[in-house]
Amino acid sequence: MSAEPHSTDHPDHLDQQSAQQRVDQVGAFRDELAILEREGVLSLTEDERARVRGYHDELLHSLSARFDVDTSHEQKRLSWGMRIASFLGTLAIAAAVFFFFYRFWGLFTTPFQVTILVATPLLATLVAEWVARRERQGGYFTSLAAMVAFVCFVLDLSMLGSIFNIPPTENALLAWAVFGLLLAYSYDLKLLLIAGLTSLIGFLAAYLGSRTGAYWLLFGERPEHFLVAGLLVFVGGFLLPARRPAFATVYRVYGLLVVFSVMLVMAHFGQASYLPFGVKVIENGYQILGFVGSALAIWLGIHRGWPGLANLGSTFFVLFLFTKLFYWWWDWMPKYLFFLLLGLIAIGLLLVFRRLRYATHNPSAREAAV
Amino acid sequence: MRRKGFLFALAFVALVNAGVLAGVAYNRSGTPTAQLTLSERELYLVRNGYRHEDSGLVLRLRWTRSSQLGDLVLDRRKLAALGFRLPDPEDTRAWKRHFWGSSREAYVVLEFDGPAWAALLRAQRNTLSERLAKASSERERKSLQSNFERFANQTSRLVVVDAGRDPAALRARYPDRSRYLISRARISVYQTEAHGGNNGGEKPRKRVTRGRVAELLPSRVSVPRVYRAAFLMANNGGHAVPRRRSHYSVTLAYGQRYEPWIVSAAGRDDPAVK
Repeated sequence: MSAEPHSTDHPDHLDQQSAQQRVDQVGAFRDELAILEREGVLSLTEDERARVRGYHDELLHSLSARFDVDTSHEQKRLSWGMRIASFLGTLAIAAAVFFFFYRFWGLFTTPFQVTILVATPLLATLVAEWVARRERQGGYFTSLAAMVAFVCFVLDLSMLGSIFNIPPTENALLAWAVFGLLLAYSYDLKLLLIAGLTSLIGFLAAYLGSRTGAYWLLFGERPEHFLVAGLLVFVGGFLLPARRPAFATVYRVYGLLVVFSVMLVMAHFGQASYLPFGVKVIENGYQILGFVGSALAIWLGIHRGWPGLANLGSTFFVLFLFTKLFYWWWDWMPKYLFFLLLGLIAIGLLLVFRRLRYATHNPSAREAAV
Repeated sequence: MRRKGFLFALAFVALVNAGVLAGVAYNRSGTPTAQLTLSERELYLVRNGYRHEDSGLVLRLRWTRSSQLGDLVLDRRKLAALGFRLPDPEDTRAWKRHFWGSSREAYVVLEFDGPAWAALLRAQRNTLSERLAKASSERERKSLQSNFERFANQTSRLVVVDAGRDPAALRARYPDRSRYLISRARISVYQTEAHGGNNGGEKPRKRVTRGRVAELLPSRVSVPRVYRAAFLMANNGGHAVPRRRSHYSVTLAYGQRYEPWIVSAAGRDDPAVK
């Protein structure tokens, strides 16, 4: 028996993360089956065992052929090291390209400078494609090569602006965003997706700022620009096709991270707001919004089975709470008492989160107990 | 997806670069909107932080800021014309809320070595005369004289004389392309107290709103390799590095998009430098 093309197990219907989750499921099933058989709870016939093993072996083979997945615990341990090495290698090569160009650019004629700047991201993209054809989807070398291509494109536009004395414009952020997203979707790379989304959020915030007539480069002085941009990215996570669940997670978590970060800033810096209310009203409003928003994120994450969202919501709930407590108590309360209360509140939160986690993991056990 | 995405990525890079270079070509096409020959007083060599790690040479355009001239040009009426929505200067709460970090882009007119600079020099000379008359020692008189000479010989002769949102209208008002350059700039707003207020307490000083040119866009001009020799004439321990008091002249042109480029440059020993 093999996975039919219309089956959700077929590699065409999965991305890197989903494929790894499927492999992990098979591994967990095999481990649990061994325990059940050893405990005498379950015993498969030879025919059933052979059929299950044959199905799983074929599935693992097809997933390994298509994706760079870890099919054993030993591979998983090595993968983390490879991810770190890939990330550090990307940073190092990007820095090398950057400093190499700055070291020699003044010694080149203008036509030569332009040729190098235009050719470098094109060549780097070709190298990324060449590496990707020799590596499985989501591979480490592809990630490194594609990230270098992205950095080369950033350098390309930045340096052209310097050489020809062009004032900076927010359109460069849009160009970097489009290129980053093209590479991310082509090679299924989450790191590039984050790079692309970062540029996109920067562009959206700058664009909104420039629409108000202000100088675009100072868009960071009005954090609410990022609020709208982050919300748009968050909503994008719900509109994406289901074929890339890992990417949808990045959209949702990253977008909400930006939104909550802005709320946290505005909760203490209301004078930077566009809203036509008093500063204290604005700050209190954002604090309430932050609490409610993070609680909703926890609920949504639990309800839909999105741990990233639930964890993000929990983190910001705690941050909003602790910053509020600091604001209320720090000036007048003895410091030992302040930190003691914080510790007790943290313990209380742990108890609450543990109950929530128990409720989500064992709903049937709770019903049976009742 | 991957094959199409890869091809789209290549095409996108090529397209964006073509767009940028087309913009550069358009900027440098036709008659420049301004062409001036400036010296190190107006275009000083930036000493970058990387030194040996950055071989590029960059000039920074600077102009003389004068509370007597430049900022009066950007008064409340002019700022409103530039798009600033100004609250009452006495409303400190509204001021803090709505003008925190407020800057806008506009076009400014800079006059080179013209009546505005002459007026500045006259004002400085008058101030020098007044202070010399009150000076109590020869040392003080020498110091005042030295300060004036430094101002007269080393300060930029570019002075902001006007600002607006329509560069064509500004050019119509200041048609001399060899004396007036029009550049994009970032204008920021600030408050100050009017001069001549009564410190005795009977009349409070009046708060007034003013604008300033925070920066020109762009404020830096890259030096192409062909002109490097004009700026690296001194030898410093065997390395060709810029000297702090280099003398050079640079002919700077501004194009259709008001972006500058160097047309020519000559160093201190060059007969072309006056």
